[in-house]
Amino acid sequence: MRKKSKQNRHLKSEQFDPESLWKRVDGDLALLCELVELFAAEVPPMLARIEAAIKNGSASELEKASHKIKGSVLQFSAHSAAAVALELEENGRLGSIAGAEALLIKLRAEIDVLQQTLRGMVGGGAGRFQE
Amino acid sequence: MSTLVMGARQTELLRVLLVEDNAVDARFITALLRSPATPLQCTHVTRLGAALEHLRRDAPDVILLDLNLEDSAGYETFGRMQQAASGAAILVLSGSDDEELAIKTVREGAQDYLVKGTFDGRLLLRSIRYAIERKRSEEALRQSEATVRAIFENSLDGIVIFEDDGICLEANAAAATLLNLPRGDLIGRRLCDFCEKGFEEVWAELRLAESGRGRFWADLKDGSLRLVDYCFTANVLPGQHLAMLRDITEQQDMEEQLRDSQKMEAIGRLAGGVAHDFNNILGIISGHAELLESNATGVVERGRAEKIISATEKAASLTRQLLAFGRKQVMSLKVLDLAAVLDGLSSMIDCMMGAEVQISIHANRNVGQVRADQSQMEQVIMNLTANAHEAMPEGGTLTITIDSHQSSADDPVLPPGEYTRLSVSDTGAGMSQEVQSRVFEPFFTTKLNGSGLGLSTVYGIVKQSGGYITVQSTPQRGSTFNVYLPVVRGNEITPAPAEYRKHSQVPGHETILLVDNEEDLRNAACEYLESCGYRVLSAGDGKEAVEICDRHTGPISLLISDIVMPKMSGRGVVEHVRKTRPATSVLMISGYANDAVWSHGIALDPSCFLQKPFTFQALSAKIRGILDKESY
Repeated sequence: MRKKSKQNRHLKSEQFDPESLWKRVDGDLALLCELVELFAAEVPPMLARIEAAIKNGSASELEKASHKIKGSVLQFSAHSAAAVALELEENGRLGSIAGAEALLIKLRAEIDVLQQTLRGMVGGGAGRFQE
Repeated sequence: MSTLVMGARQTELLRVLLVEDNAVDARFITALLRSPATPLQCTHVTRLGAALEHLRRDAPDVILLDLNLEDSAGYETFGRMQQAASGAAILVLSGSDDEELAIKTVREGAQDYLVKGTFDGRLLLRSIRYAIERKRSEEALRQSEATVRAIFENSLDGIVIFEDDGICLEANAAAATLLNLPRGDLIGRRLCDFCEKGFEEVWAELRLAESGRGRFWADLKDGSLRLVDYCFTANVLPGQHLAMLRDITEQQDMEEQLRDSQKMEAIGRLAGGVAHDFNNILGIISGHAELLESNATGVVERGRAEKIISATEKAASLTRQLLAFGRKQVMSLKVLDLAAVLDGLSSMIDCMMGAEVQISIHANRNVGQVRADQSQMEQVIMNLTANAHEAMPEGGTLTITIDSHQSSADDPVLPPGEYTRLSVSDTGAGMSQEVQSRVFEPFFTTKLNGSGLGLSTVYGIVKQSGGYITVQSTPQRGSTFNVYLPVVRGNEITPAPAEYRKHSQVPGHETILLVDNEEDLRNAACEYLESCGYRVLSAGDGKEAVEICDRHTGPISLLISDIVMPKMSGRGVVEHVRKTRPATSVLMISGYANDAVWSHGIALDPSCFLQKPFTFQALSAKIRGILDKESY
């Protein structure tokens, strides 16, 4: 099942590059659906891990968890979300927890937007992507 | 761990190990790996431990590695994987666009560093294919380098890499051994530092010619000189030049020894051959002179005959020396104590040397016995002593030593074994290399009145006795001649045969068949033997001898036969006589030594041989010795 990337050009922004994503999945909608679903399942525990790291003051755990979610959002060509995740990762690497909570809030927001956008791309029901 | 096989239509199935703990990333990547053109089997693990465990069972072609895993992070992940999977190409897949880390991993052996989210399926597959090809090329290069390195390290020849100016960049162990320097000390030195003067020009010519072969004398730090064969190739790498070095000093010495040996052998054959023919002529002159002497009626005639006999004896002495050099002299071998022989000559040596020469004799009486002819050994000692004396006209020290010498397998001259060594040293003028190389040649002399036969006689006797002779000499410092004779072991010592009673001028009455193709000698001998009372049947060749033997009805007590004759050899005559007249005794005569008898296949007691030239008195005594022995 393939869908032309042209259909989603309107979704392109600085934060997200749907054309690049379509290219990377080679226009395979089924694969994209699978990946979006998988992302929806994986994101909550990843965010929870970052939250726990901040709460426990564990900088190294913050670095690891942020790095992990950064890789995932990069796969979806979500540069804006990846930039926030990188900032959190840097905080962790530098041992700085201060400001991490605000960044986590920002990351959640970016991921919400990303997930909505992805749902739009695959045309699936909202229920499938709820956290 | 999960394994997927994708696009398996192709024959070559690439085995991929994906190490990734992020489920989304892992799914993304496995999806990107789908390609009908590149069939592969992908095994996915989420931790480094599981990956290492997998590598113990399987050898993937390529590893897609996320550096940040639950049980390992960053460069450490790469390092441990690379250590465990040296045969696999590793592609790092990272969420960090970290240039420093990327360069570090690639420098340390990763085939590529890809940032997640920046590649699609085509790029990933192409990276995998390239990575595998690069890895295979690297492996082939590594093996090739390992082979070259093994050759370099283990070569028996010296291998040196030089820069343009001849400075050594690298050298193998053989080169260090050859140039007698620790390997490390060789690096940074110039080749020309080891070579004879003028090699700088050779080096410049080699650089221009790009390649070349040659030889140079290497001057080593211990002062020794080694002859080195080299093969030069310029620019094996830009600005780096290869030289293969081989020490051929021993080979050169061996070749020179072989050449000398062949030269002496040829001269010996020539001298022996001339002496043989000359002996036959001397025999004729001597025989007729003896007849003249015995038939002479006046004092003047008898005196002239005696002068002829005396002159032939001197000439025979000369031919004996030539025969000795040619190793064709008659030997009376017995087991000797060389120290005792030297002891017997000590007073004569004292007389010969005079007051201006100090004599030092060290004769160890416990050295092994040797098998040799005593008179020949005396001649060896006296000739070497005389030679030493002549080398010290203004005085000096003569040292004669007899001791034991054990030769090892790596001795360039002597076969391994136990020898008794006779050394004669002087402190005289010494010899140049050129003189040393010719010193044993007959008629070669550096003295005004020398015959050139003294040392050549020594050489011939030593060789005929199964021994070896060497000379060491330094100009203005003196010379040492070493004679090595093999020690005879206990079970090789056999008692010398008892000598027969000497007879001379004993009248005979028996019938003798005399065979010799030298008519003049044969006629003279016939006349002499008949004058002694023998009945002589004379034959000019072997065939005639056989006919006489068959035709003659009476007994023939003795066959006297030459060995080398036309029509039928002495061997044929002896065989016929032994078959038809078993009671007939045999006496062989020849211009060669008795070993020539054995070489012609005639089984004969050595006492039944007489070497030409002989006096008729000696012949007469020999005949009576044989006939009287037979009659006992």
